[in-house]
Formats: sequence, structure tokens, C-alpha cells
Amino acid sequence: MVYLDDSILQAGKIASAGSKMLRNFAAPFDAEVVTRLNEPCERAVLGEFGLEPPKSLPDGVLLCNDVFGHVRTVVAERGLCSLRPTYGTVSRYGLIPTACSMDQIGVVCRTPAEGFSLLARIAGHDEKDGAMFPDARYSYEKPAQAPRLHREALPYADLVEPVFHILAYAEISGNLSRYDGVKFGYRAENYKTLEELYTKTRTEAFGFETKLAAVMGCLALSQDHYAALYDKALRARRLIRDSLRFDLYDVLVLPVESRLPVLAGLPSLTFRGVQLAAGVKNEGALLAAWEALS
Amino acid sequence: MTQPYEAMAKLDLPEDERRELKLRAELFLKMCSPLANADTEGAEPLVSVLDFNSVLREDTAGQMLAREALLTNAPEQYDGYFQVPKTLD
Amino acid sequence: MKQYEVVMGLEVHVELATQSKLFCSCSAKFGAAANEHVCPACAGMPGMPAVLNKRAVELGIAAALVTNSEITPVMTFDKKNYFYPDLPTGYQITQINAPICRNGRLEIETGAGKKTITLKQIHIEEDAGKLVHDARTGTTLVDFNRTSVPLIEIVSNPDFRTAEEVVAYLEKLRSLLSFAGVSDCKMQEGSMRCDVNISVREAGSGVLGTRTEIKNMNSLKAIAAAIAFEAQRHIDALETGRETLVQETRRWDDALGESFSMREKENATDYRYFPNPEILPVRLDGAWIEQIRSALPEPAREKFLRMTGELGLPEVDSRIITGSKNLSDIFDRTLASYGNPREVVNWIIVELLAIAKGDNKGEDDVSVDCVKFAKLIELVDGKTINRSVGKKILQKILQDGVDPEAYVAENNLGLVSDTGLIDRAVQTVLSENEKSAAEVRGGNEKAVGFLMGKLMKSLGGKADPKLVNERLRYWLTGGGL
Repeated sequence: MVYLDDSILQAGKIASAGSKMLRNFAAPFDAEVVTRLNEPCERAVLGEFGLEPPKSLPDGVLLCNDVFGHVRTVVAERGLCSLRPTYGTVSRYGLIPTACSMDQIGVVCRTPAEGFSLLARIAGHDEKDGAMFPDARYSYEKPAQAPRLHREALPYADLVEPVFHILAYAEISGNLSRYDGVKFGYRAENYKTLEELYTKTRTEAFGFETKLAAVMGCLALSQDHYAALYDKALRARRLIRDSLRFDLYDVLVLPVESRLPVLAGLPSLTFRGVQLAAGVKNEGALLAAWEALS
Repeated sequence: MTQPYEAMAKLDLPEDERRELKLRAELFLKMCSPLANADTEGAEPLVSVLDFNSVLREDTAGQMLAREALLTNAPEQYDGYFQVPKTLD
Repeated sequence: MKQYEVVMGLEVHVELATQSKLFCSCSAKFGAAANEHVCPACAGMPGMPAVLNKRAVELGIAAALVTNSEITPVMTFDKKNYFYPDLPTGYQITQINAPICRNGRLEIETGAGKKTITLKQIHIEEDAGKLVHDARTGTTLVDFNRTSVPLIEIVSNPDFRTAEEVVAYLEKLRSLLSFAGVSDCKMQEGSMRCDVNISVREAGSGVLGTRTEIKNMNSLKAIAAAIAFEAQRHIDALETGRETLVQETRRWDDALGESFSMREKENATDYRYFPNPEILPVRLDGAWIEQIRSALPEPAREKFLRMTGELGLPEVDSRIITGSKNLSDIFDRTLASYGNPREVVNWIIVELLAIAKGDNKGEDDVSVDCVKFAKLIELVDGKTINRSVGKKILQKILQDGVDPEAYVAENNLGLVSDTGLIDRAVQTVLSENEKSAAEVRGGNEKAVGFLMGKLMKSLGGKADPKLVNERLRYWLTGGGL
């Protein structure tokens, strides 16, 4: 049975993204991945907007958007695999957005083969998502050569956490503004003015981590902090990305908590206490590395 | 200290959450300090990791949803409109 | 008495003439019932990525070309964040860092002569929805039809000194953009909107005074009135000190003839602008720009010169036709089917516009089947029917869409030009109206009209009046005797 993160839309079904704000939001259309899967799916509620660890994982293959890595952490503990494809290879059409430059649907599975087989069915260009590679499909073939693994510390390693958080919080705060009680979702009961409608709705219906993300995002984007935080983080992101040398190595061996693959849009495979990341569109190297390490 | 940003996010936190938020904000800013010391001069902002240009959409109009379907989710509606308290201008 | 100088800059929002919205495929057409042209994306629901409309970019490039602007090689989009009910996503997608073009200029002409107005930039952005205040329920109603309709915002430098210059500029912009097919620029429908930034300083001062922005003027007349009021308000404040000028946005109330301050809060918003990662950079390369440039329709000024020059048409008539993109199109299409420019212009200005006026339509709204119109003009010009019959048939074409040739045949309206038939009619009328005939011979021209009336009636109104008149005079003066 394939489970869908509650942030992936299925027409007519509630897509709550784990939030009280959307507990009555009936999705108006099917996500592209749902259309391509073309089989009945169950739904699984994970942490609110991916900002908190999930209370439980379903017993089956799970499609989810794990930006903050809370799912990945649980997966590593449970002896499962978490496979996140290259940013821009799986359509975001029908995915409730968090940080647009990092959102990407991936798979929680028992083995990478299971995960790749599912990804092959859903990945590929979709004109309804403007930020995608043009490839029509991906085959995730293992490369002929054994992959070169890189375990050493990377340059700018100390910048990854701050850059990831600043950009993720800023983008999420922008994508949370649509939840205002006006068009759909939760609406506070006691309000007199428009201002009260907005503030009470959002204060009552968001969990703490979501509120934190919204506030930190506003701080990072504010006139007082934009240059020192957001703008600098964007520039540091380029330094981080450009420091990667996939000409010298094929797979990075990283801690499970590392935010580097999400920040740089790299495909990654997490299992049993380690996170592997490969170069853009080089998912096959992950499978080869997994086999080598297992 | 976090209050102006709470207001920007249209939030009005209860005292216990506000205290927690303030602590987390301090941790967040502390976590960001390596960035303050980093030399990012000469590095252009990387807004999207995708290195290519936009593919544009053809200009054809279509009706994706009937109005009724759209308004199904509306918490308050009136005569085909979404309804909110009176705005001031 | 101190002399003051009024300094103004304009922000003009123009709705682009696309079929669909900027980031979704909803219809961008004006006039639908509330929330008919809305989808999950432009209603703020989560799950639909923004995908940029190609035609909107092309029309933006066209606007850049006709305003002599420098086109940005790679343009990007940003998010402008604030909460308001007409903004369903809580952010507007606009361009801050790399707008489509900069440093344009256009020439205006007023009573004082020619002047060049320079532009700071033009950027593409989404429109917001519409709010309606419902008095009965004391609530505000929200319609998202207009949300995400593509706009360009044309930002001028503070080059304006008089309301006359502002009006001339808006008329010039309207002409340039409507003729380029960028927008229909109808202020009354909201497809062209203008905000004025105004400050006042003592003449000769190099420093700008406190600036206020006025919004909500829905016509050129309202803009002129708002400028007059606001300039005076500034001058009064500077002279008397009774009011302190504050940098703010003010709303023009046309009914009351005054501007009012909008709430302080709106003026102090931190929009938290940041680049939108969903919309990848758009490369505007030379080849694409050249393609658009070569496909640009003939601008009004060029058309005027060609009409008065090559086509030898009068300036007054040419000015009327080139004053409206709609009339120009009717002229072009009709001329393509019947190549007599003088007749086509005459029929449009004298007959078509007169009928349109009766239907309460102006130059921009009148419409006619140009192929049938051309055929009608040809029938009159070729003397198959006379002009007064032609006028009636034009009415029929507009009301019922009749085919002029078929209609003439079915109703036997063909021009009587059989000289024999006319001569017999003349002789009958003269013999029945000897008194009038004698008056004409005696020099009374008025009686000619009376006789002509009788003659035309007896010929069923279908004769060529010129020929009838000729034959009448022939017989009155002795008939070749």
C-alpha cells in the first residue's frame, strides 16, 4: 500500500499537512504524483508542514516532502530507507508548499530498489511545475563503475545550518501567509475586525513550530535583517553549492541530520545512521553506494 | 524583541509561547553567527539550484473549477463572494 | 508672493491584453460575475506552482519597445508580502531586482510645446482582487476575478510640472500601448490606472518637498482635479503652516473633491521583498525581441503620417481615426476590402460614429463587420444605391448583420439611373407643379428642394440625387430647346 503525506493533494479528500489550519480543507484536485501513480492510496498525517517529527510512520511505502529532515531521522532509527530525488525531477503540482526552492517529494521505503521503482513511475517533467528539469523520465540505472565515496568534511560545513534555516524559514513564512481564514480552512470564531480575524485564526490554528518558522522568516526578511541574514544566506548558498566537487567524487557520506542535500537540491538516500548524497540527477550512484555499504 | 515580527506574521502569541519563541529566536540568531563572519563578497545570490531559464506557459484560458467547487471550502460566503469584516478603505 | 513649483512622478498600472492570467490559466477577461474566473492558485489555495504566461512577457517587451526602454537581459520575479483580503496568497509576485526594462522615454506635447518624459522602469506584476463593501451586512465582499491578471507598472521619473503634462502623457501612453496591442487602456474599466506622486517646492529650489501619493482617480478629469487640489493643499501647508505635510498615501474622493489620508499603518508596512525561487529567470534575448519588434502593429503617429501623406487624407479626419485603436482597426480592415480611403474614412466618421453615438457607444466600443461595411461603401460609391439607402442598410448591418448585396437585391433598392425613367418622372412632376417650376425659373432656389423632394419620392427614393438634379435642371431650362 502506498501512503501519501497529508500535504499531497487528492481530489475531494482532506489534505491537512498535519495542521489544525487545514483540518477541513478538501483538496480541489489530484497531485501530479497521484495521477501518475494511478492506484488507490491511503493518507498519513506527518508533522505540521514538516516542521515537527511525525508521531508515527505508516506501515508501507510513503511519499512525503521532508525538507527539515524530521522524517529522515525517524527512518534512520527504524531501519527503513528514505530516498529523496534531485530537486526538480518530481512535480510539485498538488504538493502543499513549504520552502519552494527545497520542496521535493521523496519516498520512505524498505529497500532502495523499492523506492527507485516507485520514483521511476512518478518522476519526470510536468509543465504544470515551472521549476523542473526537462527530462521526460528517469531510469535510475546503477553506474558501471563503483562510486567514489567522500567522507571528509566539506568546505563551508559550518554555514550549512544557518543558511538552511534562514532560507527555509523565510520561504515557509511567505508560503504560510495564504492561511488567513478568508478562503478556506480554519477561521476563528470570535473576531470583530479584519485584523482580529487574521491574528486569531493564525494564532489559534498553527502549532508552535509553525509559528516559530513564520516569525523567524519575517525576521530574516525584514528591512533590518535582510542584508545580514537572507541576502548573505543566498550568497553563501552559492559558495556551498559551488564547493561541491562531483568531478572528484560521486557520493558524499553525511550525518543523517545534514541539511546539505536539501539546501543544494541533491538526491539523497538515508538509512541506518548515514545519509548518502550524490550529484544532480545521479541517483543511480546512491543505489551503488548503498549496495557497497550494506 | 520578537513582537514586531509576530505582528508581521499576523500572530499574537500567548505569554508562554512568546517566552519560548524569544528563547528559540535567540538560539536561532546564535546559530546564524558563523554566517556573519563568512566572506560572501563576490558570490551572487543562488535563488534556485536549477541553473537554467524559465520555460513559459502558452496563453490559453480555461476553467479549472466551477465557482461552486471553489466556494465549497469558504468559511464565510455571500452571494458568490468571500466575506470578511469591513475593511477600512 | 512666493512662486511654487509642483513636481510630480507617475505610477501607471496597465492590464495586459492576454487571454489568461499571469501565473495560471484562468481567463483574464473583464466583466464576469464574481469569482467565475478563479482557480485554486489565484484563490490562494496551496498546491499549484506559479507558471509564467509567455504572452504577458511578449506584451511587456512590446511596451518596452514603444517606450524606448532598455530591456533587461535576464529578468526575475520577487515576492512582496502583506496581508489584505484582495491578496489571497498574502504576497504579490512583482519585480524588484530585475524588472523587464528601465530608462525609457516618450515625448508629449502641450500648449507650452514638446517635452520628453523619462521613465525609471517598467515591471510586470500581478493585479489584486476587488473588494465590495456591502452596506446591508456591514461586511466586505471579495472577488478574485482580477487577482493575478497581468499588469505592467510604468514608473516615471518626477518630470511632470503641470496637470496638462500629466494628461498629455496618459493620452500618449494610451495611444502607444493600445496601438501596440499591449492593452486596451480603458480607464473606465480599470485596465489603465494612475497614481500620482506629488510634492511642492519654492521655485528655484533644488530640494524636493514632502511627497504624497494620491490614488483612486478613475478618469483624466479626476486626475486633473486631484492634482489641482493636492498641489493647493501642499502650498497652503507651506504658506500657513496650519497643516503639516507628511509623506503618505492619500485617497482621492471625486464626489467630495478632496483627498483623504489612508491609515498610517498602511504607510509603514515592511514588505519583506525576496526573490521568488519558483519562477526561474527569464532570458530576453535579442532574437526574441527582434521578432516582437518586427511584428509590432503600426503606431498611431506613423499611421497619421501615412494617412495624410501617402493616402492624401485630411488631417482632421486622420487625427480622429488615429485617436482610437479601435477606429484604426476598422479603417484598416475596411480599406483592405475596398480600397478607397476617402470614402472609407468618410463613412466611418460621418455615418458609423453617428449611429454609434445613438447607441451610446464611443470610438472605442463601436464594432462593425468590416467586410460587409466595405461592400456597402462600394455599392454607394459605385452608384448601385444612393447614400440615403446606404445609411439605412448600415443600420441593418449593425442591428441584424444583413449582407448588403443580398439585401439590396431582395428589397429592390438598386439605384434608379435609367435616364429615360428619370426624365419621365421629371416631366410628370413639373406638369403637376407648374407654380413651383415657375418659381425656380424665376430664380427661387428653395423651390428646387421642394421639386427634388417630390421627384425622389416618386422614384421610390432610389435614384441618384445628382443625376435627378441634373435632369430636373435640364428640363427646367427648356430641355435642350
